[in-house]
Amino acid sequence: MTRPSRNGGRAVLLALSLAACGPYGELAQKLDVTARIAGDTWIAAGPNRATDTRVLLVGRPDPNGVAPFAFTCVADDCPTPVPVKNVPPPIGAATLQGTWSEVGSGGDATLRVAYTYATPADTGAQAGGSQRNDTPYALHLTVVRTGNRLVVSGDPQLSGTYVALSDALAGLGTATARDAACAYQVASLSIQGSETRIIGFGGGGMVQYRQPATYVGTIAGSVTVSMSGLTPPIEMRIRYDGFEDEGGVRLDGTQVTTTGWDGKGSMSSVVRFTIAPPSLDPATVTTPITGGIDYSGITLNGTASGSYHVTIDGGGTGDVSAVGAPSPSVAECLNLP
Amino acid sequence: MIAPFVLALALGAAEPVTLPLDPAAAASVASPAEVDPALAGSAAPEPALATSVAPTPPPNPPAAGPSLGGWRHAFAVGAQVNWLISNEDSQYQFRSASFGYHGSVGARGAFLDLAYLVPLQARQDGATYSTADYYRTRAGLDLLLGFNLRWALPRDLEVEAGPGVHGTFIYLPGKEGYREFTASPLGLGASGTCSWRTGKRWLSRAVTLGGSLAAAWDFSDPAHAGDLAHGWTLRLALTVGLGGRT
Repeated sequence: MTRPSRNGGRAVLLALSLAACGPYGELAQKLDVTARIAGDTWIAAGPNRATDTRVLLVGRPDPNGVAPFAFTCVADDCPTPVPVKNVPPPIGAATLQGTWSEVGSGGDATLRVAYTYATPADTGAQAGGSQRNDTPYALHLTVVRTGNRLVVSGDPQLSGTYVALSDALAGLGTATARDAACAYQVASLSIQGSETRIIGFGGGGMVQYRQPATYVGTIAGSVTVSMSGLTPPIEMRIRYDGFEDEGGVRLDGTQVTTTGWDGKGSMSSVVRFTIAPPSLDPATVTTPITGGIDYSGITLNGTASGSYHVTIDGGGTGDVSAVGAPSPSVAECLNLP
Repeated sequence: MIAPFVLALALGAAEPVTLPLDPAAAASVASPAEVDPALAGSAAPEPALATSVAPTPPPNPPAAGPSLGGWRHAFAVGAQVNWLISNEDSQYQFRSASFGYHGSVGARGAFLDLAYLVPLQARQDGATYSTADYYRTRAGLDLLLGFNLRWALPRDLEVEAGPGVHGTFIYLPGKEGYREFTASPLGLGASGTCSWRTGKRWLSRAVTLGGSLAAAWDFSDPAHAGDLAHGWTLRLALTVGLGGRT
């Protein structure tokens, strides 16, 4: 079993996953069950500001006051409210999807969770990879809106002081290497969120993508997973097409991982990002930040090494190490409270 | 996995056969010619020698029935159930149609049970699924390879039974948008067949009808991260086959 760093982990997961089939899967399980959400994206830092980030997407409520929601946690450990089969702790990323309803003016909110996703922090061919639990349950929260902030309490996993992602993104720069690294960290949140929903990601179950499968973005676009070759070189492709899981962060392009049976190999290709904070006020719309993440500097040899080369169009460039905690952290990049 | 069986078949075919002195008993023991027709020439007694030492035949020799030696082949159609219990206590059950072959050699020798499976229904933790609704291909293989004994019973019945090593492979690639399921439990099992000689002959062999039962205890699935806590396999089939030479 491998427990790579958060930055490098995603690459090595793909490679190692090709060596075996992983634990038994769920029978008759639909791969993609995500419902599109049109709404507001909020972001908060978790208890460990260096590694923990929480993203909450709440849709427009229907006449009954019920709104769809999606919540994603990326951290060293994101314990889920219910266990997810074949995903032992620590959990590197987790997503909850369901509906959100508020009763009265006291901020009492009930979350009816329909789907719970989890990606193990420990990964490899013997691991189950990302899995989903379809058992419904409810969470009760207290939500207080103060200015542009959303203060959530009542559940340790979701609690925090959230800010609107559009506001947070507006503070990103474009000129320096640090700006490039921050653009990577923001885009990486979307990438890791998508990987949590790709059933089998990071485990032996990835072999099922010999037949490609597509997952929709929660807000827009899609991500398609495909695998070619049962003999080396084995190639895993994750292609983003206008993929948007967080309002204002769009991904396009393909992440390619090429390995042998031993999991050794490399990554290649470029995933482009467009960071365009949505705004209801046209006067405050800023120029989108566009650029690319080049994966060709990543090599896989039991664990990922090397660095992601990040380029902002007309701006700074930088390399983000595949090893170690995110630096700078998302909380630092977005000045999260 | 089939190699040992092939080797056993080869050894069985080459095994020398000792003819008993009693000519009546000789009729119930496989001759070299029966084991391998190519040996017929060398095994046949020299005419001159036969003239000088051949015992006097009994007045009314019994009819020569098939011996217990030699090959047995049978095709089998039946049903198989596989139970799998995962390490996290998920309980799976697969109910399949099976189309198989049973082959064995010698009164004491190797046997092979090989079945192609078509999983028709699957269950997990109480929920039942028709595999046709979720999987674009439904296929599996079951192999039981071992050593068995053969007995002759009255009324033209013959029974074989013996233990062996067992493996099943279930392959259920999902329809578009659905998850694939595979399993490959390995374990130990046993097979038994009972066949009845119909009195008809084909290719110089008795045509048989019968039934077979195979059961196995599975305890390992290394291709699935050792996720199998334990499992069972049970297969029942009707057989039609070729018995001993007559």
